[in-house]
Amino acid sequence: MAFDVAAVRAQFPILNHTADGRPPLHYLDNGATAQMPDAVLAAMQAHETTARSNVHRSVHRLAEAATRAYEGARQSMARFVGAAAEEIVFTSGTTAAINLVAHCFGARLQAGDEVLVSVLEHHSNIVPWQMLRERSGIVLKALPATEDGRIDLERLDDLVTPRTRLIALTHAANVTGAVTDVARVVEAAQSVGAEVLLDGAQMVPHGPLDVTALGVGFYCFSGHKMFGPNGIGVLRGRSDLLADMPPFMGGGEMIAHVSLDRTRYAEPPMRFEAGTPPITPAIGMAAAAEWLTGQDLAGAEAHLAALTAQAIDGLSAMKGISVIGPSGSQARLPVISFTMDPLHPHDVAQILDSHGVAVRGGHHCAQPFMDSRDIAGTVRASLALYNDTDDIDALLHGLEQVRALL
Amino acid sequence: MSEIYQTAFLKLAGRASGAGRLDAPDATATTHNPMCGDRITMDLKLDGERIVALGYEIRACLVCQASASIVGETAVGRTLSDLSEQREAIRAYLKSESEAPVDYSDFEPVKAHISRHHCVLLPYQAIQDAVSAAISD
Repeated sequence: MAFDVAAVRAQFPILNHTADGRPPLHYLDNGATAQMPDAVLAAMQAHETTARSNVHRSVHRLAEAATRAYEGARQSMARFVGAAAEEIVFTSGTTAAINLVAHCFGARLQAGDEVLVSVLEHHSNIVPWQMLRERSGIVLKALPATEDGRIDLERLDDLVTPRTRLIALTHAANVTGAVTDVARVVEAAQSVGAEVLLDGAQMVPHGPLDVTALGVGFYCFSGHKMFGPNGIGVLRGRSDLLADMPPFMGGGEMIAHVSLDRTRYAEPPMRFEAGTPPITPAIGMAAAAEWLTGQDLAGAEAHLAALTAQAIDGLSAMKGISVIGPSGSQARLPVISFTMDPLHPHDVAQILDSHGVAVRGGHHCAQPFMDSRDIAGTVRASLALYNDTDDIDALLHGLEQVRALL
Repeated sequence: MSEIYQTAFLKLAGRASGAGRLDAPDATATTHNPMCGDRITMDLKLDGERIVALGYEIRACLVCQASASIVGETAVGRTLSDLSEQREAIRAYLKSESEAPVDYSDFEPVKAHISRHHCVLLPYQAIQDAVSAAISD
């Protein structure tokens, strides 16, 4: 049976909401933030109205219910990525998760140890390592990109050395949608005893995965890109790595015992969750993971591949448009970046918005990649499973209007 | 259709008044817009506080280009204090706290788009950065 996109769309209230005087919404900015279905909204509403309380400390009924819900969310996220619950650290998002690793795993690194990233990384997977370099004197190296917007893994042999301690790469590039060949990265890391961190922010909206089978030490992702709320994310750290890491921030929840002289820290994952955690967002993120897992993901993959092909074919037929990224359908997400010579991506995005088409224009927090192409930015259409052919038609029609106006 | 890109606005951006680098400027700086990656390199020749020549090289959106074009048309002969006041007047106008400064009436539709306000102000930031760089040299 064909993927029932209409049934999926019906679950997203915002897709059926039209602001006064505005054209219908064609939301193609899912790489920045995806929308939330009724199931997620309902889960958070239910928690706030029946079990709102703090977790882990109080003994009253609401606190017990909140603790069960929060720890249940941890178990849900563990199932979603094929990990153990004690390997799931809730953070405020992918950026916080990577920063946590840079601080805590980074605390074990010595001057001269090497961290390898790529030119295709989001700033969130570059800046924390530059900051660690300033603190500790590590050496930061970067894999270049291929012409079609993939991480150039041919260069692994040159850039991985006996001093490499961590290879930190995106699982799928937020600008080009290219999916990284993780097995090859893990093999290179293991050859020198290094760990692998993956930025999974763009990958997880496409379904559950098995980080244990992937063989990576760290996996980081956000709730708001996978149909959950913002302000919540996950760091999955392999248990032996987390056990060896010092805390990130100090305060409530992360302690075993505090005296005025010293503090003994809690075991992971609590060691890394100082302060009252984002309880309702965690519950919403878990609801999103469960909702996503319950969708026809094979159908969604085929549906999105068809939409991606429709978009790329349409864009390729337009004068002055260059797609920045893989041209084929293999090992790519439905994330399509392009330039529209000689126009600026913000001007293109602004006019598309006036036609109800929401895309992202700019550098997408990937300035090193933009610099490598000597462009200010791209227009990016990033698709989710609720997008349909009307959305792609609206994008292509909107671009014709841009060309007519400017 | 987007209201920003009206004929007069497009003509203003297209004029690119003042575009081009100066030889041996007294002050120069390249300013980036962190929100979108746009950049403008601003060159100034100064007589004390007064701008006697101005040139720039720009890679930016039409909103920023149009604002730079106004700077190119109006900045020479004015003082740095004038330009600083102009910048604050534009900022207040974009926030609907005051009327449009002279020359900026075509920017009325931009006011509704908060993400584009920094595009309007980037040339003024570049002037300030150029002067700051010259002072620190």
